Amino acid sequence: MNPYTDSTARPDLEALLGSTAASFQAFEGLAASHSNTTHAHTYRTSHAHTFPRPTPGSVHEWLLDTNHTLTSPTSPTTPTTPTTPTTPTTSNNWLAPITMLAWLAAGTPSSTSSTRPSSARPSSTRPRRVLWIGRRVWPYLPALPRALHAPILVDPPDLRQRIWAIDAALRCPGVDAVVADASGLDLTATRRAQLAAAAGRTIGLLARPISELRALSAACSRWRLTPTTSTSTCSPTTTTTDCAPGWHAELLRCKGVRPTQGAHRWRVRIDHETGDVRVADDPGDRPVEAQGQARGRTAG
Amino acid sequence: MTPAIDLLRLKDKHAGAPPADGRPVIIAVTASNRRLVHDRCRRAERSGVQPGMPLAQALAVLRAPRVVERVPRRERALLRALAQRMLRFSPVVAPEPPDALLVDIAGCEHLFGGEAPMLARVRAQLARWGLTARVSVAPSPALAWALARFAHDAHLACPNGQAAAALAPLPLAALRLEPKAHQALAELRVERVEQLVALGRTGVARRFGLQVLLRLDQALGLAHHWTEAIVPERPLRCAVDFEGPTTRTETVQAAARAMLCDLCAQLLARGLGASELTMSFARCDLEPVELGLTLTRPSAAPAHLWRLLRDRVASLHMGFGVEGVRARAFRTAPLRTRQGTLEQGDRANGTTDEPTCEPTRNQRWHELLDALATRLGPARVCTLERHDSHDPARCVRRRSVLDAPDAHPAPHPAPHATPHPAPHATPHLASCPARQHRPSQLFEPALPAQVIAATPDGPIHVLRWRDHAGPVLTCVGPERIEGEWWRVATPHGLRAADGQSGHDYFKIQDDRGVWLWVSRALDDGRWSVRGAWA
Repeated sequence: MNPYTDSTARPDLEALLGSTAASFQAFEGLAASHSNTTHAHTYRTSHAHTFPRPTPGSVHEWLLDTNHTLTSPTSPTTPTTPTTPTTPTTSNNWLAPITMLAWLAAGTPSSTSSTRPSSARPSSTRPRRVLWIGRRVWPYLPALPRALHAPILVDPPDLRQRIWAIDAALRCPGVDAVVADASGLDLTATRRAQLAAAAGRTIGLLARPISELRALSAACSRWRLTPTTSTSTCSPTTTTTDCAPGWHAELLRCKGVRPTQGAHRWRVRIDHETGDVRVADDPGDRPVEAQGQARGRTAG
Repeated sequence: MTPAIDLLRLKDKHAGAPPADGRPVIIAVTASNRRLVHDRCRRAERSGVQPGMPLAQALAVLRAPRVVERVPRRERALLRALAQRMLRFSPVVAPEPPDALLVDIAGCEHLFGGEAPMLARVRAQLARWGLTARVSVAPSPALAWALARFAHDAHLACPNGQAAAALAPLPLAALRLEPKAHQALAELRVERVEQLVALGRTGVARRFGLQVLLRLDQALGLAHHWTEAIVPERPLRCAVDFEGPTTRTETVQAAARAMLCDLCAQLLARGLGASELTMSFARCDLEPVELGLTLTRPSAAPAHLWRLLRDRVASLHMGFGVEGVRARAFRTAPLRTRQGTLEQGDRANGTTDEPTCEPTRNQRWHELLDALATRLGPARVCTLERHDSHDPARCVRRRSVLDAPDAHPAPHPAPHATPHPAPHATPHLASCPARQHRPSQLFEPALPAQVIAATPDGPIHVLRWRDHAGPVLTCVGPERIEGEWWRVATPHGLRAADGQSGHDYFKIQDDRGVWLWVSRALDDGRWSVRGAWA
């Protein structure tokens, strides 16, 4: 029942989680695939293939970090002074990581995680019932995976109604996943969402602006996505369609898991043949300043 | 008292209204690859068109007839509806498919001044509804049926005690015998009922079976003729009036809830669910307040309906006091019910506030959509549907969930059902570009941008939009998508209106790593950011 059941790899987890392990089960990707690894480094690399999938009854926060330019890797950033964005994103124009959220909401296993038996997800062929709450996270239908081709878009007029809609949707057992604009949600609202998701056994995927990176939250996990540069074949004069958007996904914090420095990183990109999200084999490198911030953040 | 039965024969039931244009009407039916005349109007009948005739032959006889295809389902529905309306003449009305109605007028005729005035009224009423009918009265249902079909117009009414005399001259088909018995009698040149009676009961029973005698006795009123009378449909509404005006919120809420429960009980008794209902609160010295409710899926669960209405009833402006509460279901649809378990069956009476059985995930899903649409407004909860357009901004349309009740994901497939293909695999989906070439988010409206490019049609080097300006790392494109020129035709030619011209689309990555979909209008060269791969 423990999300990180590999007690050999994480000997401290059992003691940490204790009897409440069941309530902390937020992902199934980590627990499923790893073998006897004894070192933190091998633990990390062995999981680069499989992206952890959220399990029903949990709420996760996703932040897309677009504050840093990729062309200036020498920006002065130290672990003690974490955030000095080159172009500060105001609260109004932030982007929600819709591609990743749609992929997680679709619930199909990634193409690289072929080790999982297909019978584990018998319901992946039927259309998923997913609500998209808030205009900020409304997707564009032609880019959605086939399983999400019957979305319900909700447009709450204000924050209060948005919180109510998120709560009502998460509490409904008929819903598979809820993707919501969670900007402005405080600790109470996220606690409410987490309790509602636990009651309805639904998956909550909350998109928040990067300015709320340090906001208090009761969500099971918080992730940060940082855009990566494309492959080297892309240049300002490229005319091929070979370049695909990609991100570093970074698990900033997760309930029940001791914060470790840079331990949970994946590299994902849109597969340019299928359009699906693909988890890269190697975690890859991130921009220098982002790594520095991650170090400072996960310690707190 | 002898029961007297009216029998109506519907003729022009498909035409709806009488043919005002004077064209004859033919009802056609397709039988084993041939099109035949099923029925015809009086005018066509006069021209010699007979049922069973090939349609081509009828078309040759008539001038410009109106040919209507036969729809048996519609026929039955019309007969049922007509039966409901005939309840104004008698409480016992039985439809006799395919085209007859039996009305038991025993004891009702004196309300209309006797049999003959009543018949006249029935005929007049049917003529007003646009129906050609033959109305007959007889002591037994079977005889009335036979008279309406085969009797001469002067002998449509058969007084009591003269059933045998009325039946005697009718052809044998009036008895509705089995085809085998009918054929055997026809071979003996028995053509009329009186000839059959002359054969003697014992001989007939031995040679042609007891069924012939039964039909004869039914026509004479000696044996019982089973009919199935319809249940009168009461309108789906219930009301309560208080003894005096009240402003107590609790009273009004309790009354409203009770009315909802009553309404749901009525609905459940008919196997229906309400998809549109109103609650009306009559107020003292003020106009009544109407609370409307539209659902994504028919429901007869009082708890669910009350949950949707509770807040609105609580915030009701009661004025000088509420005098009465009434609930009415406007639009209903058959309820798809599910068999509950044995222990659930005891409480499954629908009148309690408890759900009859544990709601399925599908029910819960629709209840959620109802709750969202009721609280936020129907326009704020919508589905996406594809529109046949190549314009990226117009190929998807939003539609309120209340307008598209069937646009939701299909319910969980039954365990025995094969996994069906995706329900939204519309044909033009295949012609769309692969989804990785389309952004995950489309900005509505498109955001204005400024661009620096080395050559007019070349790759973009610097992009400025919102509050960000920076160099472009990658630029893929252009992909030209023309506008829909057919939507607007200006006097100067086929030039699209503003904002509808074609665009050159570039997929670029800015210096923050964000992939954007940037477009340049073909007519005036405006640049805009259309979407993002976020």
